[in-house]
Amino acid sequence: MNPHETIIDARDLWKSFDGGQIPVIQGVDLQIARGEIIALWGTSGSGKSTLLHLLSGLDVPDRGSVSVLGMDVTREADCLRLRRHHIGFVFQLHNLIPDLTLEENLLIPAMAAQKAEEKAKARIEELTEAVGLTHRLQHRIQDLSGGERQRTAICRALMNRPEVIFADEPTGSLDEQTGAVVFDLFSRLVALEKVTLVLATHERRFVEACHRALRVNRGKITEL
Amino acid sequence: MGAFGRLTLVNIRRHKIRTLLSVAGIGFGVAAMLTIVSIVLGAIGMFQNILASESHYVVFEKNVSDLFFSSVQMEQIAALRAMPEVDRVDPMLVGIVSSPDHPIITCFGVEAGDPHVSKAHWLSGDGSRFGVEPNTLYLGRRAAEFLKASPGRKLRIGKGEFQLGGVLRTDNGFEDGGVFMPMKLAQEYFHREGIVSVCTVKLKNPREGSLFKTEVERRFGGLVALENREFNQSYSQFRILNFTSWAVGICSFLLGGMGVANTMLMSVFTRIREIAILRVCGFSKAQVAALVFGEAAMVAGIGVVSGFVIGMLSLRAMNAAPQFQGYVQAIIRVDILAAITVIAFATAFGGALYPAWYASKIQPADALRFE
Repeated sequence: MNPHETIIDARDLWKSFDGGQIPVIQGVDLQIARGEIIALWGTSGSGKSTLLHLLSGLDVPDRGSVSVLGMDVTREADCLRLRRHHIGFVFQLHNLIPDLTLEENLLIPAMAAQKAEEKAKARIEELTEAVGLTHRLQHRIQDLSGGERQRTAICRALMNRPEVIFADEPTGSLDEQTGAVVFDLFSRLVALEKVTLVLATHERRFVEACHRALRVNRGKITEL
Repeated sequence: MGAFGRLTLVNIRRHKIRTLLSVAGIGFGVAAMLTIVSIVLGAIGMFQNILASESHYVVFEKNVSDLFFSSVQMEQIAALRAMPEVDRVDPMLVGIVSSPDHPIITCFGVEAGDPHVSKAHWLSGDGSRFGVEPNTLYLGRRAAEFLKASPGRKLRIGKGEFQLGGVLRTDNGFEDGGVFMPMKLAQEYFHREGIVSVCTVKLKNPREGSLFKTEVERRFGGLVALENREFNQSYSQFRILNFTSWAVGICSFLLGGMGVANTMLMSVFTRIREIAILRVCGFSKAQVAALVFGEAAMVAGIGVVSGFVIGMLSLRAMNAAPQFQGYVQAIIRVDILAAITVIAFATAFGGALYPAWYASKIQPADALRFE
């Protein structure tokens, strides 16, 4: 495995909404190497979330191409393979299923990838121990605090041992102190698992913890 | 239960009332179909038993819409009896009589020695004296109960008053709830002297059936001879009853299917974000659709079980209710239960088709864009 290998390669990305009336991403070229922790920093409405969605295959560009680990994210089959085995997501809102327990929520990626439940449970134990949630396994999401929910979302993103994690304002819904704790935990886990992290954030304090930071402004990126 | 099953279960438990309404739709469809089809099959079975006792062929008037309107002349009965291949002919005159409080009672005019009376279990009276005493009729067990009649007492039937000669028990609800009259008395009562409705024919050699059939049609142009099996398939009343029962049942299922469609669609609409997250976590379109179909299958499964319970209880209640005079003798067949189950699941899956398609088309980015 080459540590400097480019694993995300975006070329000439363009994206607009409302039939071209609202240009959001304008001609972005971006290469991200394996193991990099990279921040997409910008104010609200700058286009950083849209760029993250395009890089991760959640959204389709109007023009340009994105490949992750050599797979075309706009192709349904490649995208499905990536989501199941190679990439994970953390969102601003935890986006967990409230009626399921913490453990059942963590089983979802394993279920999608059709992994054996026993192996998945062993992985759950490993991850929840790392984030201090082992005692909450059988609790339903609605009974967890905001910080616990976001830690659960981080565990879910890491369930299938992905190579890349896309995080969109992962602490945006938390208070400053809890956000800092969760981000610290997140960074340590990412380093421990040797995962490439693409982080969209508006908070400057998190940018400093990244290997590289890109400013997103009016749909274009510049190195910080 | 696997994680997928638990996820499905959580979804149907999330909106209990909505799920319950859906289950009720399927359940009532199942119960309605089970009740109607079983009662109709039971009624047909009882009617077939009346005609089929120890016989091979049923002879009646050609193209008649209902056996009550069929006319076979006694001379034709005599001619049939004289045919060399015929072993035995049992004529029957079928009619409807009434008594105070009971406007519809089936009446069977039969001859002495007819298997219906000679082979019945006589609870009172003497079967060998059937038709000997004048102006005397006989009652099935349940008819005696609901008419509160006992032997030796007089009984008012229509405009006539008759002596009750005995009470007999059969295994047939129609017969048990009916009135038996000696043939002559029945013909006088119904003003059909010299006429019967139908006759059953036992052949000396059942293999000569087709010969007998052809001979009947050649000699008696207005009559038709049908094997019991043929009769069951071709008698229009049976066909109409069967068709109606299935049609009513399927209509009730269509309502149930709409309930499932509504529930599943609402379930998908209220979970667009959640489905988007499943897609983000690696669920394929097929897995998302399978989730919706899984929910529909669970609704159908619970509906089928509850529908069978409701249907069986209804049938038992109807069978015991004195108002039905024992006419409800439902026949519950495994193939019918299987057919109803298949229809219930097909209805639920049909109802889930559009919601499943819609769910599988949800794009994560669209659903997550406005966090």
